[in-house]
Amino acid sequence: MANSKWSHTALLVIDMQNDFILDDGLMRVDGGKAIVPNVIKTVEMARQRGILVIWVVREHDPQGRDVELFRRHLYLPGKVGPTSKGSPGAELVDGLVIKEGDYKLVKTRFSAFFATHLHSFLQTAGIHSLVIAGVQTPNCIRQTVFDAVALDYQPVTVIVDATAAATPDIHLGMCSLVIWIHCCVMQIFMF
Amino acid sequence: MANSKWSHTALLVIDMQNDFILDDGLMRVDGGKAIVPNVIKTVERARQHGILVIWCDGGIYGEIFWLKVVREHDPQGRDVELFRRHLYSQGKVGPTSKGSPGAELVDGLVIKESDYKLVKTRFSAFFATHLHSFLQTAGIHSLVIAGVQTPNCIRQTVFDAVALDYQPVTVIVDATAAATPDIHLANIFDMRNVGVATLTLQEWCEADA
Repeated sequence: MANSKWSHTALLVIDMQNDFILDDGLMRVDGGKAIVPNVIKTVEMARQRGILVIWVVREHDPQGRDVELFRRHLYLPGKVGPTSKGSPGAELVDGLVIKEGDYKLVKTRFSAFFATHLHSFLQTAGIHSLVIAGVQTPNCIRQTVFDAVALDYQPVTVIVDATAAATPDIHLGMCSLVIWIHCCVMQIFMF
Repeated sequence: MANSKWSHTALLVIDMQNDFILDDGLMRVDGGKAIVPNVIKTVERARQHGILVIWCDGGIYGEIFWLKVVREHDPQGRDVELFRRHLYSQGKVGPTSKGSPGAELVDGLVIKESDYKLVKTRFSAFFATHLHSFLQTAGIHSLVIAGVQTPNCIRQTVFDAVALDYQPVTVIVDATAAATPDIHLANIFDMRNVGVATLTLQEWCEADA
């Protein structure tokens, strides 16, 4: 049954895919594997509270035609590029499962809002508050957070121990930065 | 060998899915089934113009590649226009629900490896999608349009294309359709008035001869 306190909040779980998380992932984010248990916990907590869970993933054309220019060299003929649609690398890591009632959103750039229907979807669902988990802090997390703030989502909460970057310094640098734009930064136990 | 005349052109085939085309389709467009052969022919012709796309650092040797634009919706209808949400209630399979047979392309239309599939959730192929950014980076500035249905998805896509400075924008008038010929022709007329080329399949094939 919906807890109305949370009916205007969505959890965005960003890029928790094999290619970003596994040791042999094509674009491994070094801090990613360690946060998997916390991401699982965050999703469970969201589900318990009736918070909409949105799985934001990169899925790319195997030929790389929808990839940022600086990464296109990774998608040459005969090579399977990172998070190519249908590849094992594009799948969510073990332990993360899309359940009925969740929503899956495919993006092709860092921000979950860039050239997707996320904003129009959220607005119509009456969502004005976002909680963010996933990887990686300086890129997809940061760009999504900045776009969310630009689009007047409030509060925007980053779960600091369910997000990660290549190094703790990079990660914490970003987390402190977003406080200046009035984002909440929380650990899971505070959520 | 690249035909450079076509290297900046893309063919958009819009919404040629079972739910819009088949007799028992959940949102059947009455004129849709009749144009399937012409849509197939348009695609074949487009393929004939092209060569394999080779992506190197900084270089594109172009072809017309076939952009399949389809509607795919959340089974609960959470990404559907408000006026259609009642079609997605509990226990019902709504039109073009992701994974449903109705969302599949009609028989005869096949996505090949070199084609690109674009999912949209509104009438226009440009609305809240990455189509424009994708086309720009591919150096595409000219569009050819086929599919259904003329007053909605075709028209909205065409008007957005014009707004975004694609030129020329060509609609193949006998490879697009609406519920009735009158509606179809009225919308073709409106599109012609905003600088869109409206050609029959034959005229388009002959234009490049």
